[in-house]
Amino acid sequence: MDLSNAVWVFIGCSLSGLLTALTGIPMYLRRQSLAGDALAHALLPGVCLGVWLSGYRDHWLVYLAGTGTGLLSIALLNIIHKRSKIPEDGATGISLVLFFGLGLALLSSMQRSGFGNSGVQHLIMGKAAAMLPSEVYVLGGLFILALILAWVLFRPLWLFCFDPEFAQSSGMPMRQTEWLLNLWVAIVVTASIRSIGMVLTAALLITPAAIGHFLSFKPKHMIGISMLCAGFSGALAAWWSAYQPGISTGAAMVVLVSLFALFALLAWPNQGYLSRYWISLREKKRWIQENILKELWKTKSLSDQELAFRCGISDAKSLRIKRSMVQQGLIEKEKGSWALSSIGQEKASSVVRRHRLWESYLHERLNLPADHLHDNAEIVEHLLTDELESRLEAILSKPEQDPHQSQIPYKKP
Amino acid sequence: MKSEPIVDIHNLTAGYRRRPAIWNLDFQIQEGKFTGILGPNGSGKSTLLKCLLGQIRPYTGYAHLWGQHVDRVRHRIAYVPQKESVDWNFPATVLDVVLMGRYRPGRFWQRLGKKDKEAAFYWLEQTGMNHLAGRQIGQLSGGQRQRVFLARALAREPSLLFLDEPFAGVDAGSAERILHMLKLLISQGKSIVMVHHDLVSAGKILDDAILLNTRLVASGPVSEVFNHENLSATYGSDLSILSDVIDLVTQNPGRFKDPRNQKS
Repeated sequence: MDLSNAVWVFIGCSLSGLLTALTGIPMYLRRQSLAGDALAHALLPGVCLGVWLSGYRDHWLVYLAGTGTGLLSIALLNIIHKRSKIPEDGATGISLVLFFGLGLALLSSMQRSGFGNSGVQHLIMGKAAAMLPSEVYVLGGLFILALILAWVLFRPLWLFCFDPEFAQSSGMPMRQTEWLLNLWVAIVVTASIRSIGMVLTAALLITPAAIGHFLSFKPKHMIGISMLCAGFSGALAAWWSAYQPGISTGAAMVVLVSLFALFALLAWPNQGYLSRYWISLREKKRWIQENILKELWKTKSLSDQELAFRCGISDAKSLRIKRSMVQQGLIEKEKGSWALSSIGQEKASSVVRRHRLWESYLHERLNLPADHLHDNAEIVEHLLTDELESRLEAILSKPEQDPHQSQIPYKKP
Repeated sequence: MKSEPIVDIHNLTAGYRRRPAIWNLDFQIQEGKFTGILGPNGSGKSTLLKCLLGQIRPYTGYAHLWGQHVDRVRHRIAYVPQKESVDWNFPATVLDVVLMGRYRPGRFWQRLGKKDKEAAFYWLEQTGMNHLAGRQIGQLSGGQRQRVFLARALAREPSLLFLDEPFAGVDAGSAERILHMLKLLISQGKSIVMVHHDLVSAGKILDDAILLNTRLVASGPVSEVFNHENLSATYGSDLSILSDVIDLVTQNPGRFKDPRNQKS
């Protein structure tokens, strides 16, 4: 029955990933990510108590008591925060260590009195290899329920997370909503402790939501992305720990979902840090190329040194850029000096036109003196679009000259 | 023409963390009027608004709307909070936010339908925001954010609208648009209660004013209450004894709450 056990683990881990990700989204959006962490840690005393009272690790009392102490920790957090000047994150910290410490104390005293092998450790770190089909059924049922609730209550929940003041003024029962949410989180964390483990559940509540938020501002996309990341991490983690039984599924899931986060933060097109850096490099290159075109347009031909000097770039860099411009067919070398090709001629005149049109605009519409125009236009010439250019032409009614009495080169009709 | 009081404040004392911020207020607000709550910073304007909206429970007295507790008439009111009170990086589009105004507590399990979407688009158009419906809210300017909040509140189709400093940090164009909308509501017989701090514009746009400085200085039509005496009492500081008493109450370990006022 090795294979079917592996299949159960696979399904169970994927389900806990999906379920925790979906559940974590309202926590994350309400800036209560760490409350989820506190709640997960606070399961420990309840779980120990349950094992101690029932004598079994898989008794229903274990789950009930775990959920109970989890909720208690949130209640304590709220009391501390609302009744004193201690801020919410401080109160969260206090509540977390208090309950987790209590749990550890209970655990160690239980181990001393002969409960040593009741397997509570596996609930702390997560060990899905011993997952029972019944547990997978519970996870599946909860997941379906979560999907239904999310579908039906999506708009009220989004309002609750975004603007509690407005929600309250429209008559939303705030306290009840908050406690139902907390109860739901407690149930989900309890159901996932076998696969993820209570300590690491917080990561799966927070990180997928954060990935979704980073990649999209559309609510439904955000939810979808979060669940995809967490579901995949769960599936991959089950597979990983099947091949390397030393690795706990919880740790594997957290590592994988964090890799997703790292990838998104760094390399996602248009948004990742690396992608943005790459785009900025590309833009810089385009600016230099346009400046070269402009200088050649003004002077007709330039030697290597003159070109590098006029554009303020090093010889090595200018060599690289010139090579790429030759490949694009923008410039040509004739008798040791550079000149524009016919395509280059057209592009260059467009840059000059935009420069001079913008100067005219600044001079005429913003009443700037003639010596204030150039620096600004040096930047804007690279940014103007065709659409803005034709609008500029229209409102200035195609001036012949710019404020410095230079001809503006228009496209031939 | 005689109008009914829509807001009835009686002997209202309230505050936070046991520190009373408003002290024995008594006044009424008339239906169909554009009323401003005016006072310096820390004069209790926001506390008064929070009492009116039922966000905090008063220590003494009551704040009634249409003669009832606000919880029973929530379907008839709407609120425009300060735009700084939310996180604008929240994953939502302009349309998502306006649709939040269509939430009805009695049928929270019902998903929004075509009618709600139409209403949202109608109010986006009225506030001049329909071309930005798909935009992420974080990309909006201050004035546009305020207009989205106004559209969301109006999507509730309220008879009484509360606003908290709607003109703070708003560009001139948006301010004009918002004011135009508010005047339109008044002309349709709706009532508006607005926390406001700019005295100069207050005189021009408001019908009635509540002048507040911890205690009530004056209430009534702007033409009557805007005089030198009232304004210096509102914005001056002749409250040293009262503020000393407030300190006493705050430091006192006993509970400063009327026992009869535990449950509304």
